Amino acid sequence: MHKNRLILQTLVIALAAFSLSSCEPEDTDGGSGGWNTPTSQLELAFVGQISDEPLYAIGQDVYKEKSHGEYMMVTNWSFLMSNLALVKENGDTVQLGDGYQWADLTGTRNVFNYKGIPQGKYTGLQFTMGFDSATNHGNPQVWPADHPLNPNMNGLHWGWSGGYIFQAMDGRYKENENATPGSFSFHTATMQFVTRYFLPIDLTVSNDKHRVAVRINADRFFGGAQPIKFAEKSVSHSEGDHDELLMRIFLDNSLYAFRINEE
Amino acid sequence: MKKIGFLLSVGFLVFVSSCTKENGAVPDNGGVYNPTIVDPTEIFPAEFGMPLLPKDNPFTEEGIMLGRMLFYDPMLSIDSSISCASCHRQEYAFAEPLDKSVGFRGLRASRSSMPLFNLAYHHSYFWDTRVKTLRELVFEPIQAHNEMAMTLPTLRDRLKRNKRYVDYFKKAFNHEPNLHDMSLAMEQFLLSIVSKDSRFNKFFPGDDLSVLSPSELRGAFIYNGLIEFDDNGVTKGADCFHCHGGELSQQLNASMGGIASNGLDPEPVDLGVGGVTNRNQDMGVFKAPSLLNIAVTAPYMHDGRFQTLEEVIDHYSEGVNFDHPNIHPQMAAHGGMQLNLSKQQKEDLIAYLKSMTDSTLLVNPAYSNPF
Repeated sequence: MHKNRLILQTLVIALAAFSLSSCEPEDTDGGSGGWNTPTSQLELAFVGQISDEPLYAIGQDVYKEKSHGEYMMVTNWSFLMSNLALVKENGDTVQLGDGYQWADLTGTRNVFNYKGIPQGKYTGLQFTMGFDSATNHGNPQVWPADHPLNPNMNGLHWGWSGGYIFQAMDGRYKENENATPGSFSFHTATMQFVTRYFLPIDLTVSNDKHRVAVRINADRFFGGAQPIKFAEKSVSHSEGDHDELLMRIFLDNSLYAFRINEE
Repeated sequence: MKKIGFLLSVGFLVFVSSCTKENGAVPDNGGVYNPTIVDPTEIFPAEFGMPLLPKDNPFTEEGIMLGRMLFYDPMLSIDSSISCASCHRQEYAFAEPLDKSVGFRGLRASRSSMPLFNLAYHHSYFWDTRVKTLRELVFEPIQAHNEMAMTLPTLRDRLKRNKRYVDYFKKAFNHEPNLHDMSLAMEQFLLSIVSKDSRFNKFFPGDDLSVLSPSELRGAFIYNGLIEFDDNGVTKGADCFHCHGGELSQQLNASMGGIASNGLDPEPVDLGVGGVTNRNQDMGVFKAPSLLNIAVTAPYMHDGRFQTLEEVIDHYSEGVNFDHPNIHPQMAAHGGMQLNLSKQQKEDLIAYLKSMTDSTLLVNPAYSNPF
């Protein structure tokens, strides 16, 4: 069984590599615009925020207000992506790199550079938080040491065949400004919580290097139509009735948490 | 690992014997030595995956052996009394049974010495994660006044005056002894130390549960179980794996639990990572070590405050200070309730932890004193 998964995983990677190399110039690491299309560079940044402010600022209180009058501080926020791509006006996609990426918003890995982006007009950025089942439950050690899916690098794998944690957001909260802090932890995993995101953008890629920033507000994961009050619900690992319901709310809210613009 | 250990040992013997002859090994026509490249796949097990290795410092038999000699050589301390191995002893998984190491003139180090194995997979080193590479790391204890107390000009001169090192540096790097190559050789040796042969590592793929005893297996479920209290306030899981998970029994991503406060004190005493970053959220936070070989690396924690595994488990069960301002969320996200594990649960957990001892590491001749 284990060996079969390994073979399947290897096959998937090999097919993906073939399909990419078959439509890209060799000296690019992104894009699929064909041999004759002029290309450009894209710097893609994922920026974590709370209430539109930075997660941390030296000399400032790191707790920021969220819904229910609670205050929150994010100590860990990472997520894994697949199918990361720019979307053209006609709906065609230009995959960025091999489509996989790991963003660590509380660490130092949140800015990515892609070469070979075909020039032209783009209307969106899309990605999936999570993977197909074969990738999720395959042998994670098949990934090279510097690949976003290598668990020794991202630390986002349950071990065994349990699959990846697609997103981890941990931190501390206070019920009010002066309250004793508590902790929250939301870890998104399992196939039912694979989530696709589409972020509309008006981007015309020309000769220049372009920088696009995706700003993600942590407080919006707990606000909106179904706000989550930490004092009542502060943990979900995506398994079990309580956790699954809470994770669904968390992810539904997340659809309103992303903003994208060219800088 | 036995294979690579054997090869390295044989290689070392050949190397030493060749170097101790009057004329030494013969360089090529251009007077250049060609160190023997070691394939990393011979060092690192497939089940761990390949680590991200420094591209400018490939493994060579000569480089690893030179690093090993330097590691065991007390000449690296100012009074030639202390080597790296004085505080990182192989029989203790390259840690030592002291809460704080004894350095130059009996001065004590500020924290306990960490074990040394599987370092190739780490992204930072020391309890406070203050250095990111092993070539940087080696200069810290060498220069620390309360450890080896050496000055770098003195060390460089000593190496240059030592005929054995003049020969070995030439064979490994084609240079006369210098501090940069010294750090590269020691980096190679430290990167090459791998622990993978514990029963835990045979169990981890999950294909053969019979590797573990019934008690160890129960411990595995407690270790890898999430904290969920039932109506009687009992949890089946202790959630050790978030900070000590995977084949390496260690979380390598700092944000995911690779660095954490585990509530040892109600407030930061030793600043830990915060002493390096000066960020509030890092105060009193430390690197979470691998639990491989934990049974032979007592005492425990950065200050060696716990003498036994029983004391460690008691801390996590009923002694956590949830008031610590930076306690890791995974530990405190359950309402700040102590786990209150049963006597049986504690015994099972300890049995599981003891299955993580790799006895081959403790005697592997590839890592032992070459002198």
